[in-house]
Amino acid sequence: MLTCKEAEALIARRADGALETDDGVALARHLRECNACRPLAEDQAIVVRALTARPEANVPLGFAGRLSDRLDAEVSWADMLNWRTWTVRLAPVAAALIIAAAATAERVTAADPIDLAQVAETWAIDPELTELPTTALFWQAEVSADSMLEAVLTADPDDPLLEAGYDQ
Amino acid sequence: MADAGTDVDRELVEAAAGGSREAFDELVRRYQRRIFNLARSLTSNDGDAEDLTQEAFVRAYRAIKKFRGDSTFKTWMYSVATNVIRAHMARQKRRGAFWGASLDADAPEAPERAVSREDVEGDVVRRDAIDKALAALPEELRVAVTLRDIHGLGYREIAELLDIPIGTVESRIFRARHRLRPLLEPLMTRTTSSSPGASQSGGQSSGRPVEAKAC
Repeated sequence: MLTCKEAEALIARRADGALETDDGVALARHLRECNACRPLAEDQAIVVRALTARPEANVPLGFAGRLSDRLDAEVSWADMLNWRTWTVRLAPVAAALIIAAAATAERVTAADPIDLAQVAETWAIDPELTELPTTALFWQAEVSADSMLEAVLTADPDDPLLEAGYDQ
Repeated sequence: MADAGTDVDRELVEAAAGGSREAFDELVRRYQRRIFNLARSLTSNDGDAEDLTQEAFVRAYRAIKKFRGDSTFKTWMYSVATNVIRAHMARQKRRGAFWGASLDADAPEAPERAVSREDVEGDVVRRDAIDKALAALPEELRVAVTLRDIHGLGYREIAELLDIPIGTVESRIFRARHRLRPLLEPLMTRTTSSSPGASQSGGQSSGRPVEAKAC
């Protein structure tokens, strides 16, 4: 025999006419013997009758027109997102920009290339210094990895070369 | 088995997906009343119902090309509309929680005052009374029972639409009706007094808050 919990689903279905025949037999047997479920089944049917009789509301006047306006706007947005539409619409703008750029452009010549070695030499070697600063190692052509690591770890923050570097 | 309406829907959907605005407009005409009533019965507010119905159709319009036909257009449209309406209800709930229930003008009346016997005359008042009683239910129960008893969707359709097991649908519908019973008492007294078999159940059930209990 069905338990009351199992019967609930069948009671709900019986109330709105969605109960299978086999289930109907089992539920009828349960309801004959269960005083608690019988009134529940009756109440379910009464609520179904009340809800199915709910009078339908009419769609508000002018609804179709207002929705149509929104759908028209959607079409416009879809057009804006379409690259083909953009290509066609922006072609005159692009042409105008190219013409304007060509008319106002000045001839630009590239600067002479910078000789970095020369810059470094004049920058790093100070005739006033009696010995080269630690960071001068960075400019030497041949330097071991250990020396480079030591230079990094022991670099003096007040090193004029570093300061000069920060100022550049 | 597909009925004639479903076949017409399928043709209209194909045309709409192909870019026919006229076909989509026809789909709107076929479903606007149902979707508006769904929104109306779930929100109890005409203004919100129109906004939400519009929003549902706009979203359907955007997504119509992605509709694969795994379900009927009706189920799909109800699914789109239900998602829009549930998102709205969730926003309303958050807003109510933030500002306090007393400041929420759209909040439904207390269940005890949702329906009075004097109010049940006339379609508008009757509809309003039912919608207010529905508004007193938790959202998950309200949506399930509305889709079943007012819009006639099948249990399997509702399960698919809400993405929940069919047993959960049955349980929610049972519990929703159980809670609606005392809220709709004035309407049901009127309904049962005019229906055969009313004397059998109406007097016995009227007004009592029935508690479900195990045998």
